[in-house]
Amino acid sequence: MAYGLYRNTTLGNSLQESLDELIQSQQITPQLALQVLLQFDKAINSRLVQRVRNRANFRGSLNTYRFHDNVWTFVLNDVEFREVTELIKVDKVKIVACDGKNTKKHRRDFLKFILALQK
Amino acid sequence: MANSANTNTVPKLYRSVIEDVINDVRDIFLDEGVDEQVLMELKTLMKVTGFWQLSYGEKGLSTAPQVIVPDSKLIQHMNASNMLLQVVRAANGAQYIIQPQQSVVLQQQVIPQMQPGGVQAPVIQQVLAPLPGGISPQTGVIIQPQQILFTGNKTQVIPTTVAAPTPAQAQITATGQQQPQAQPAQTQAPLVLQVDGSGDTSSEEDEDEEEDFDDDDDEEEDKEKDGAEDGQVEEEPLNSEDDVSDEEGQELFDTENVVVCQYDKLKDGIMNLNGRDYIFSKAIGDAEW
Repeated sequence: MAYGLYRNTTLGNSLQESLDELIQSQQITPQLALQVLLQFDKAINSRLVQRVRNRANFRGSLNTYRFHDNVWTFVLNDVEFREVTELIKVDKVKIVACDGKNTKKHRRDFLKFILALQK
Repeated sequence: MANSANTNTVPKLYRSVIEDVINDVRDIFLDEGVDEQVLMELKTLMKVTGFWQLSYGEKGLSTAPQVIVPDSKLIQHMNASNMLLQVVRAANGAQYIIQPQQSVVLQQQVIPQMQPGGVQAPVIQQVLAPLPGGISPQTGVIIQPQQILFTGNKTQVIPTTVAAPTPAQAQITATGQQQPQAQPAQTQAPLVLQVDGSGDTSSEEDEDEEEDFDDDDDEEEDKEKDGAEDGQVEEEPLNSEDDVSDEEGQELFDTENVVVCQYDKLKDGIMNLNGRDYIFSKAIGDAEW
């Protein structure tokens, strides 16, 4: 079960917009749109892990922090993000983070791996 | 791929994700009996709206993206108004109407919506080109979904969220003509791209209100407990306070740069900063509270 965390990104939003248009023009059903979104979640989660290998650093001041339903939400002010290639400054940024270690998928895959080993 | 510039990595990642998604859902579409054509349409829409945002973010405000996505709803109304307009809908929900040079018969105006209840969409920027004056050749109108009003020869109100149209129109016809003069300086380029116009002012308000919000958190919890005991009279004002802070939260949400990722270490994240997209596998930082 991949997180729907990435739906609120440029790509995720454009997908949802596109699906909404198709629903409104009745070319697809809402149920189908949901399936597509779930597939998107899986795809982006796995692609991010596979394809992206760069680090970022940031420094700023913490305005608010919130931990609710296992989701961290931070609001930072006057932040500098540092990539290898560039420096990005913003006055305000919201960071939303989901638990990265205990997803059910990890558990399931891990169990499968162990069972396979025992055979 | 580790050291390639982020601007190359991000579009590639997006493209591969789109390809993956399209391929994976192809079977689902077929099972549901949906035509392959729809799938291709989805792909196109995703690329168009997704990459428009991407290219806009990369090139900045000076250049205008050429991608146009016709929106059937709006075009219907516009054609009725004798206008040829094209609508671009960006990924963040804003809709941009690109107005061609000639054939501007009507004066169009968009009412900036500043309802006291705190509308979720920010203030609308509007630029017009009345025909005889021939001011700026191509103007763009930024319209948030559900906030479109045409005045002039034909008056059509598309949404129902417009408050007090008549006096507002009178005011805006006066102010509206001043605005195009101020705005073309900013919008010499074909498209007006100031979705976050209200962001500057609202952030100042938000800072003050945020502090109050944090301080009031504990007090509100205590008050709610007392309110429950005392009766319902005190709950209504308390509830209205809650609503105010919720709307502030929404304003914050709309104008903020956003990072989505996973913890314990901040990993596998997608950032949207200053309109551009960035990606990281791990992020480390310091922030003092």
